Amino acid sequence: MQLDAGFMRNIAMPKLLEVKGLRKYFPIRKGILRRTIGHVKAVDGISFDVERGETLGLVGESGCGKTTASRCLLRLITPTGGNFTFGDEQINLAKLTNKQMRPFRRRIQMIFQDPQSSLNPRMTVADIVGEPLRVNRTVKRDKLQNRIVELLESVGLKSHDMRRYPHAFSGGQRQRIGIARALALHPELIVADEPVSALDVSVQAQILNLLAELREKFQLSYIFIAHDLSVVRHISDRVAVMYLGKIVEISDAETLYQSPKHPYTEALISAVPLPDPKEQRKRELIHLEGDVPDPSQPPTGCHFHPRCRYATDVCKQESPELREITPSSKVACHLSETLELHGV
Amino acid sequence: MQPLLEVSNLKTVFPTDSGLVHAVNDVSFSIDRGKTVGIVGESGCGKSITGLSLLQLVPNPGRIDMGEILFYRDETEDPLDIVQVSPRSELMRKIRGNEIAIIFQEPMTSLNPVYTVGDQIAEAIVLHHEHKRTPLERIGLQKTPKWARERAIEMLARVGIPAPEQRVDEYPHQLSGGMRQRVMIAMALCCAPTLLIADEPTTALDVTIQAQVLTLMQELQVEFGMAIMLITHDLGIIADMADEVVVMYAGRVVETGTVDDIFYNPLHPYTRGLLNSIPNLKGNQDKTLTSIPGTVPHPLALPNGCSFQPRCTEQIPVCEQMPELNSIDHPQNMQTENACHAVRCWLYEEYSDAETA
Ligand SMILES: Nc1ncnc2c1ncn2[C@@H]1O[C@H](COP(=O)(O)OP(=O)(O)OP(=O)(O)O)[C@@H](O)[C@H]1O
Ligand SMILES: Nc1ncnc2c1ncn2[C@@H]1O[C@H](COP(=O)(O)OP(=O)(O)OP(=O)(O)O)[C@@H](O)[C@H]1O
Ligand code: SF4
Ligand SMILES: [Mg+2]
Ligand SMILES: [Mg+2]
Repeated sequence: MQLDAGFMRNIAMPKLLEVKGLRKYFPIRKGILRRTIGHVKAVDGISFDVERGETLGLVGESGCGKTTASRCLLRLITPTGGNFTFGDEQINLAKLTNKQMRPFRRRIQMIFQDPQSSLNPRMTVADIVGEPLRVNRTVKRDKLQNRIVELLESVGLKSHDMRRYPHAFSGGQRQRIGIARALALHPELIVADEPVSALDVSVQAQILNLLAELREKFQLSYIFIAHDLSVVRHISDRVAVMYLGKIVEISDAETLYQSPKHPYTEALISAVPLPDPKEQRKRELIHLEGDVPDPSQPPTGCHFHPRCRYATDVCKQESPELREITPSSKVACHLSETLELHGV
Repeated sequence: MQPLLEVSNLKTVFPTDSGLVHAVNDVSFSIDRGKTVGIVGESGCGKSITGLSLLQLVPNPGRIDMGEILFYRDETEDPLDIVQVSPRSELMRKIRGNEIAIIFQEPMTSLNPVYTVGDQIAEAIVLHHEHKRTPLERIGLQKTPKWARERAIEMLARVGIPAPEQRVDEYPHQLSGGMRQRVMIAMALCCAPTLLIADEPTTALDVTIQAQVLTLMQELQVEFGMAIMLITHDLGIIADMADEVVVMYAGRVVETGTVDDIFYNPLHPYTRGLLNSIPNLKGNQDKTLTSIPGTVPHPLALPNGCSFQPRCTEQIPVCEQMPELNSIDHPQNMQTENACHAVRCWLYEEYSDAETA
């Protein structure tokens, strides 16, 4: 019997991470009494999973909730609702207290966009990379130096860089320091929030290659957040597209880019200028009218309907569920079965 | 055909405590009327300072040290060398805004937060049409003339801002990033400049908004017949917008040519490296990107000879000396009269025609 990949996914081992209906609402307060007059539904019921060794890309325009979702997963902020289970034990991290969370913190690490602001300028590289090792007392003192050198070398830095301070490094090198620190405690999942967005393309390529190499070497899983769709395609096995706090499409990378099923995904792909002038002259640009709406007052029905060129009456009234279209792809659009959309 | 602007051997320097920074070093290129020239290169390579030099807006302590910026204001007159015009002179003020306009990446830095967008656009319009003001307006008894306000609303509508009659009375912080960039474009265009310098105009915007703004710039270019100098580090935007491309590295031009030359026949190892570094939206590539090794050198510690040499995988011994920017004599170039594919690299020295360059 021929089993397709999507089916295999569903019967395989427990997922590394399983997110169900994750929500984060921020109160909007007003007046001297700071009364709550409404909520920004920054993350509004998203569900997805991540397998071991897999990279899930998360894309969407500014303010769609990517960073908020990742901060929830790291429990840097407490989710308003929803569950997420992690590891073979399938513990629901959403409900843990800070103290219960502690053993999980080292297993999920984060890499930030701006390594400058996440590295203490007064600490040497050895102190920065060694800090998680010292705090968690995972390495004996006499082994500490060796472990730091090992970490630095695994991200392409030299042992003599240990004594230098972050300001003495270029942007790409600082990102390497941040990656070394994230690797220190042998994490299973790394959440990378725009890790290459601030870098020049030549250095961006170096860091993307490094992340891919480390993924193989340490069997890491990534949640990779970026607004650059080309970068996300390159690094990801699967991709989730967010719009106003919801996932509108999630699918394997190849399918999503070649035959998107959500009008927003189609428009996003069409808006990326290709570094190929002849091809670019031939492409039809799908114009999205206006801006992303205010997330505290999202449109009725499908949040995307005011900008959607395919919208019908039902789109204005009913919010589409994220539905399985094929075993490996889910889409939240009333018309996904009938639309013929274009990818690249 | 006569170009609109011709930059030759431009050198802009910054004296600093640790030495003289050559931000723009021996840069030459030209911009044709109504065409788009894309300036591309990595952070710190001198793109912005080149743009600011054209308007005599180099920030302190920088100064233009050498070179010519010939501006053919009128097809019949002799060109004006902007380098010779004093930055604070009446003439320079007239050129800025009226003939050459500039927009930046972050519109908030150039919009005044305490005035409505309407007042700011109207002011630009009034400055352009000083003679149209009534005596009352001229002595400041009537602030924004009605006709200027109406023209501002027209401009807001033209750059695609919805409900312009309302938006005209709003303050910059009430607008989204994309709308602010549109306001900047409206301000830049209300005087119908012959050249628009756009320095990373969409870098802070989302792709869908970027697409709107780029399309708007293309439409307005056709409508007003203006030339655009588009500064960006995004090769996709270059492919989409540019007719001619200038690739810069460490303050110097390393390659120039038509957009097709640069993308389909890149010569300089740096240009090739850049093109290979970008991941493909279409996938179907090796899982490993071909990155350029190393990083951009510090402006005060440039290597001897070719600035790219320490990162170059094709270097030969002569690269220890500085190569010239030489035009490449290949058959494709014969067809187009003005366009010229030029490269600063020793690998092409034998093909170059130094006599005609
Ligand atoms: N602490 C907070 N209090 C109130 N609102 C917040 C807070 N953090 C985020 N938001 C709002 O939640 C929404 C989602 O923000 P988030 O930072 O997650 O977006 P993002 O997708 O990461 O955007 P970007 O691409 O700009 O980083 C935005 O509307 C934002 O203004
Ligand atoms: N005020 C200054 N003092 C000293 N050096 C300066 C100053 N302003 C710019 N420079 C130097 O001039 C060079 C060119 O800078 P420029 O801003 O033109 O780069 P750019 O190509 O626009 O980069 P980016 O893509 O980051 O905007 C850089 O090496 C920079 O360090
Ligand atoms: S549900 Fe309707 S409005 Fe929403 S994306 Fe699909 S077609 Fe467009
Ligand atoms: Mg974010
Ligand atoms: Mg710049």
